[in-house]
Amino acid sequence: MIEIRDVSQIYAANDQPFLAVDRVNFSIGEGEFVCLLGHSGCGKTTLLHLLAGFLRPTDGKILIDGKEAGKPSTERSVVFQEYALFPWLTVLQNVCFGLRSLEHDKREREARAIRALQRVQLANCADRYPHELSGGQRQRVAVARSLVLRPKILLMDEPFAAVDALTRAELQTNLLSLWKESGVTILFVTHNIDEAIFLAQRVAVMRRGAIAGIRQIALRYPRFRSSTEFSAEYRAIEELLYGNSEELMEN
Amino acid sequence: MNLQEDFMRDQRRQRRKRRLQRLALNIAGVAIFLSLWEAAPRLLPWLNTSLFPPPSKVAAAIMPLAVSGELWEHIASSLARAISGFSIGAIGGITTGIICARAPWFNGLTEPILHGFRAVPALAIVPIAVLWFGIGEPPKVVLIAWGAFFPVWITTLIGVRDVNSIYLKSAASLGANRCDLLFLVVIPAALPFIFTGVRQAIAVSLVVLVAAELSGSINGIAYMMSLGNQLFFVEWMFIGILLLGILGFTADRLFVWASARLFPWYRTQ
Repeated sequence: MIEIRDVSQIYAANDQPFLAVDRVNFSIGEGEFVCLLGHSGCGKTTLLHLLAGFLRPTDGKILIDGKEAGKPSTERSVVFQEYALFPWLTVLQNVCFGLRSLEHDKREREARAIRALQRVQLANCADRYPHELSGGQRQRVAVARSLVLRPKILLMDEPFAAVDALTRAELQTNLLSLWKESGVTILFVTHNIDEAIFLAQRVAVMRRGAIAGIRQIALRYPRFRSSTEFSAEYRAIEELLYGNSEELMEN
Repeated sequence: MNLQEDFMRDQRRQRRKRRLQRLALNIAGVAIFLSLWEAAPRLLPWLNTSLFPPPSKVAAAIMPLAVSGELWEHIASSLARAISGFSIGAIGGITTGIICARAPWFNGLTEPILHGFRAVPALAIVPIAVLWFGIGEPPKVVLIAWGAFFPVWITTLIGVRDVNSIYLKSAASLGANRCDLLFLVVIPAALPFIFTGVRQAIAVSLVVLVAAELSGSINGIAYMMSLGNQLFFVEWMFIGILLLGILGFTADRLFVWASARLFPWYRTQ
């Protein structure tokens, strides 16, 4: 469904060309949950921005259902790390925002938004402003705001990086159930190995702008972090991330 | 439960107490100021009370002006000028600022001229405005609008230009059209900046108002003061200062109150 073909992206950084994404080839199937894992600056966010349509690839093609991905659209919804809710709109108005282009009737928009908020257990916060919510609640609103549009693809850019560890674990479990309910395709960018293994069917590891390896996570959901299989996956991904075991020792 | 209620009641009581204390101090401050002023000529015999009238003489001078209605007429004409000039300037400033920030070609075109004029103190335009438009209402309103325009324009330009790009990306991926993007995202995101400009513009409006009225007028607070100067009614000049102080202070407070009321999310930004 998503095909990334020979995509490269160059930035100008301090008057020097910087190769942020280096000839990446990758495809994601319909309804799949894929994590893009890597260190800061490895190009994973750039790749997500290319998919979202915020950037045009310097070279190569991105196809979605066979058609070239153009400008940002509601079928590719993005959830950001933080500050992405509009602080001047209430929770309900935030969730309604994307529906403006899809649904003319204001009452119908609000009804759909309320249903989306119910799915993340936040319907009782509809009239609050984002600053009145906790970090975890805000991220759930952000997910609801995206899912209410029934996008084909949900692009998530380190969405849980700014919340505390306990909340993060809850948000991950919620996200998995929303994914199963909605059947949406998810590309999830993270620098957290544990998070990637807990969530994804496949983990793509990025290093220096290129995909260093792809790991199929065959564990059944729900996954248990304490299981030996989980640790085995962890080790395998670490190896992809750091190259080989010697490099791993150095790090 | 009882413990919590008691706690809350206690909190409220303390807050009320702090507020009352502050109010009492404020009133005491004014009272001390007025009594020192009133006592000054009595303690310092060389002070000339016709040049430096104590509050009692100023208050006595207000009465006939208020009764004859002259005072209200002056206040009303000053207010009308200030409000219309400020509104034109602020609306023009916000509009131009937004266009400059969103349309680079327009910004490039207008940048040198607007920045150049911004550097000229508004008061320097007064003689030319009087020469061109005489001493009627239009030049005063134009002058105030001119003074109010620049601070609003520059802060709007900066605020809109520097909107956090994550809001723009969010809006784009949520399918916002140009109109929604502007009114539901860009302008609200820039509001804190716009507000600082507007607040500055309120202060500038008052300065230009005084200059415009002093340069030739047949009514208004500053006109009343210059008349007091010519007729040697020194009290009138004091009344004018008092009125301008009240006017500026009230306008600023009103603005802060209204923005907190209209934009409840803004304070915690």
